[in-house]
Amino acid sequence: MDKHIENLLYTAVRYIFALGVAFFSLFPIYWMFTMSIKPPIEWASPDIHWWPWYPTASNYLMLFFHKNTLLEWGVIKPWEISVPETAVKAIMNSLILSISGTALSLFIGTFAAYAMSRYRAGGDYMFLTFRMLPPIAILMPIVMWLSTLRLLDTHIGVILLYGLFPVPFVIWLMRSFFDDLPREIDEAAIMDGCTPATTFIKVILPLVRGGLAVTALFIFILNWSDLIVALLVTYRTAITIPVQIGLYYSDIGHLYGIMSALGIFAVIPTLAFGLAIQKYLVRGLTFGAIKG
Amino acid sequence: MSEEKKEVSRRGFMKTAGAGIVGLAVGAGIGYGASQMAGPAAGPAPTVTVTKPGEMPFPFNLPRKGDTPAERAINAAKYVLDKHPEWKGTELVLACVGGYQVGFEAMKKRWESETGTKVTIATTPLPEFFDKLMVEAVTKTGAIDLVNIQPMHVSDLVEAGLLYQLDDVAMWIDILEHGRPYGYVYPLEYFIPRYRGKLYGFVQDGDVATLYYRKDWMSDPKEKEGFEKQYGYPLAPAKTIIEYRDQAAWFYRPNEKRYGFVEYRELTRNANKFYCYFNSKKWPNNYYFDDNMKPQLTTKEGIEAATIYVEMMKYGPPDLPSLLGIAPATYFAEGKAFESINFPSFANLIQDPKAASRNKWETAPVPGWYVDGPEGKKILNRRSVNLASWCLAVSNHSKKRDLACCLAAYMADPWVLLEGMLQPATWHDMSRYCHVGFAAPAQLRDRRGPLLSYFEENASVLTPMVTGLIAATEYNVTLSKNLHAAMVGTMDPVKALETTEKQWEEITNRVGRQKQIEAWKELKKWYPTTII
Amino acid sequence: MPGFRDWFRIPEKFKILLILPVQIVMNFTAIIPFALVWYIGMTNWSPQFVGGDWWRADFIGPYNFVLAVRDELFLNAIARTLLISAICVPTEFLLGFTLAYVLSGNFLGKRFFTLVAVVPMMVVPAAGGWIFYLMFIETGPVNGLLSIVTGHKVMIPFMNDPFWAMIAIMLADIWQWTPFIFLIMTAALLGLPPEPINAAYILGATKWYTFRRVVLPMLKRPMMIAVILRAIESLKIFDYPYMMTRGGPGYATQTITMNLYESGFKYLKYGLTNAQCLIIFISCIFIAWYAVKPLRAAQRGG
Repeated sequence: MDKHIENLLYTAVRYIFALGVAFFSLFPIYWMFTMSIKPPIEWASPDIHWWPWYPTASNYLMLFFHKNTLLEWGVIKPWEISVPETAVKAIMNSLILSISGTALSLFIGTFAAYAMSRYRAGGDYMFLTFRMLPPIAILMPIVMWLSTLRLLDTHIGVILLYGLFPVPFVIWLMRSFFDDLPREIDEAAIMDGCTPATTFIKVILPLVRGGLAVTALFIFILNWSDLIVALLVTYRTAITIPVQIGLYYSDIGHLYGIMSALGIFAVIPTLAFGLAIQKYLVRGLTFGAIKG
Repeated sequence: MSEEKKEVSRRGFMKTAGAGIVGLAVGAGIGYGASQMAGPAAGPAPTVTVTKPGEMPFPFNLPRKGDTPAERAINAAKYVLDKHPEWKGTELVLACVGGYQVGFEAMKKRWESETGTKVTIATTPLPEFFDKLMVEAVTKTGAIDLVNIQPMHVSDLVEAGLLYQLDDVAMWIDILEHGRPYGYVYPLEYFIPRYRGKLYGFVQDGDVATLYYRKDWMSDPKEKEGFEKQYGYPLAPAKTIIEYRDQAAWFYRPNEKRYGFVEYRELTRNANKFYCYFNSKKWPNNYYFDDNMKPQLTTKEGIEAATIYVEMMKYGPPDLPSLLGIAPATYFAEGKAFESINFPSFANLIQDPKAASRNKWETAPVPGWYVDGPEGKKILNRRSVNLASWCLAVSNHSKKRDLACCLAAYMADPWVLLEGMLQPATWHDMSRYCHVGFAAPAQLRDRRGPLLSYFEENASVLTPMVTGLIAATEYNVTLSKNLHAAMVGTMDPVKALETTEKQWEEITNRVGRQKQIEAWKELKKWYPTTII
Repeated sequence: MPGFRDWFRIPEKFKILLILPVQIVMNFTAIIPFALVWYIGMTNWSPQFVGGDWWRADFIGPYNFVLAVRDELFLNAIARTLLISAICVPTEFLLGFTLAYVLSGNFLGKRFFTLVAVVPMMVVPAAGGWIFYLMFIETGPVNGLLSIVTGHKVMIPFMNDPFWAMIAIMLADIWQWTPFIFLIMTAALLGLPPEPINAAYILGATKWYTFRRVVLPMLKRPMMIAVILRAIESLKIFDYPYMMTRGGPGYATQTITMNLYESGFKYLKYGLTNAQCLIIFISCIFIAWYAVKPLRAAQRGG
């Protein structure tokens, strides 16, 4: 009897705890979502509207279409709101910069990881240490260096940084995938007459396809979430979503709904990809030290 | 075994180091090459009209045709476009803070249709605006052609080489700078766009602090009686800061959702409100610095001003320290606040056709202090403050600088400015004699209401913020942040002023005291010596 | 061209080829700036002074470092950041570990709850900061919940109070990063060998005793890794204060990164800020050097 009640109690506690955590982690996102479909009059209504009274998609439209277009369509009223710019450029930039940065860092990182896994190349812990530094400490001179090269606020400048900053993750994550492959494969390939280069490209890389995909998604999430690099090195041409969210926090008042709509936009890819590679997240976050 | 391994690892290390050095060399090479390549384009070499012998240099080669500045500027632009056919249909980028785009959109229409060039308005939120401009000054990308800046930005941006000197353009195109009936309201044109006597921008927005109050609440006989009973003097537009405080206290009724006053007291910009309390505390002016650039904040007068400034927090809405943008005006427009010392755009918002406060408010000269005047008499010293005041400047690194100068001159036209001012959601404000007083056009009267009647009077006692000094922004922001801390209760006002003085001294020493003393003398010349 | 082909044939040469790209990018974007930070840290460069070119600034030697350690705002920011990590990291660890342990068994809905618990970590920090701004404004749901609980209308402006603004930022940090600990500890719990635990049960040990004496010792290394990584990450906190308070009210929530951002990019004290960056840089290298040790052991030991 004791055992039974104890188990029951334990189950109850477990569910209460789990439900509490679920509420704590989901409610803020829910709140941002409701805010993103509220019309301007409800943004700061003094009594809480747990669900919008007049749900609308205008905030999302505002991200993509200019105010005048929306006025013509009759989606918004003239006095409702004054949006500086649409977010199309920021969304496009975020996509372009994150993807190219990811590609660059994968390119340089995978080679290095292979060298470190198979040829005992050094420098791996140096990269790890680099990752531990606060980015601002290195960003200050980087901004000046980029400005000397006239690369500030250009796509190339940001891609270089987005290619560099996640390299430690690439190296350690890919290295752990390479280490998972038995060395006999390399040896067998060499026996069959492959050079080191062909072994790497024709034999090993296809075998770690899955690992590459996981790493790519992981790095994409890192780049997509970045705020400080983009904030410091972009101004107009290369602006990204997180910076754009801050732009709406502006002098003409806080555009709650639009910021939330953009926030939802920012969150969707990371959520989807993050949950897709959930199994490997631990490995990525701990630099391959713990394999999930 | 271990010996061998060590050998191997050492060799590996050498190899790695070798690769590192090669990489360093390659990287440095690329970097050097890139900087060399970028070098020539980087220098201050925007395309300037090539002058043949016998031809006048820009802007004196421009035609002076047309009756208004706008016409003259457009004719000049057409001439420039003839000289540079490659600029036809080009795009000029105007960088401003959020809140000006509506005005500029309205103002640019005629320019776009007549010259065929496009004007793009790029907005940045105020907190990041100045750093981004500074980055542009350092990088010289030429991505921005015109900038709409605040007076406190001018000194730094000029020193960093971003701003083009506009004296000649103003004179040649003749933007009607001085004198009635169309000139700038004195002394706006001396405070706002000038640095060391040179002109760097055309005023867009004359932010003269004014006292706003609800005339229907004030004329309510019940309130009048109650107020007089409690404070011992009649309820009338506040003449002194003390009265301003008393009235805020009297009308503070949080249960009825009514607050005494509302102002901009946010993190980085509340210092300009503090100056409204501070500058009139001494005759003729309560200066920020003495002649040796020693800060004068912790004087007896300064502490008194700061104490009352912080004490006022009790009578405002609870989220006062974070209100920015149109939020304070919203309080007033919804009929939740009694009074405010604020800039002229405030009127645009509280006079909105939908606002509850429409036509129920009145303005007055800013409140001041009773101080020891000349000959030992007590006088009422009122000092208005130039709160933000934006002006349009031309970037030195613009690739189409000549055309940008024409656009700036076009935007300085009194009637074009009026076009911007009439927009419902913009910070553009009156800056010329033909915008205020009796001469004000009827549409503007509708949008700005009674504000126009006291504008000139307040402008005649206009004092500057800390401007014209190098690092002026930093002076203002450090004071703001410390006062903000005092307002939310982490420091007491005296401590806030002391901390600020220390920081100001540090800035002055860093920048160079002698340089600052000269700039301060230049600024001090334009302080008012009148009373109203 | 035999020399060229050799690069792909001989392992020793191929290795150099493999790490060349990373070296180039690294040097280009990191090493040269690192040299710059040393140099500019010793000049009085500020764009207002010399027309915007750093190579024309005056060299003033290590004076900036003297100024840097006397800069109260900088020191306060460091203290504040340390305070945030000192409170957040243990809280996150306790919560995350408890959650991992509670969800480790087999029960209905386990997959769902695990998924949900990881969600906050996937939220872009900038958006996360914005979410928590929305939660804590006067008309936000925190006040709404308080109103429901207390029965009358509550409208506390949390962001205007130095104490509550700090709490809000910490809550946001805890919200986002508890899943980090949770994930690591879940993986570690899964990796535990079942034999010792079952043996303990068979021998009649209670759940608590088994946990304390058998499970915990086996989790020592993952626990250390989780805490160390989290602690280092928490020193970088920037997105939340930036989105929620911009360092205000006053200086109440200004962290190291915010402080350097302000003095460098707003006040343009490039020389001094570079010196401060260097100080942060070097002290973080020291911390990271020791922090890497357990990671290294784990990576080597597999």
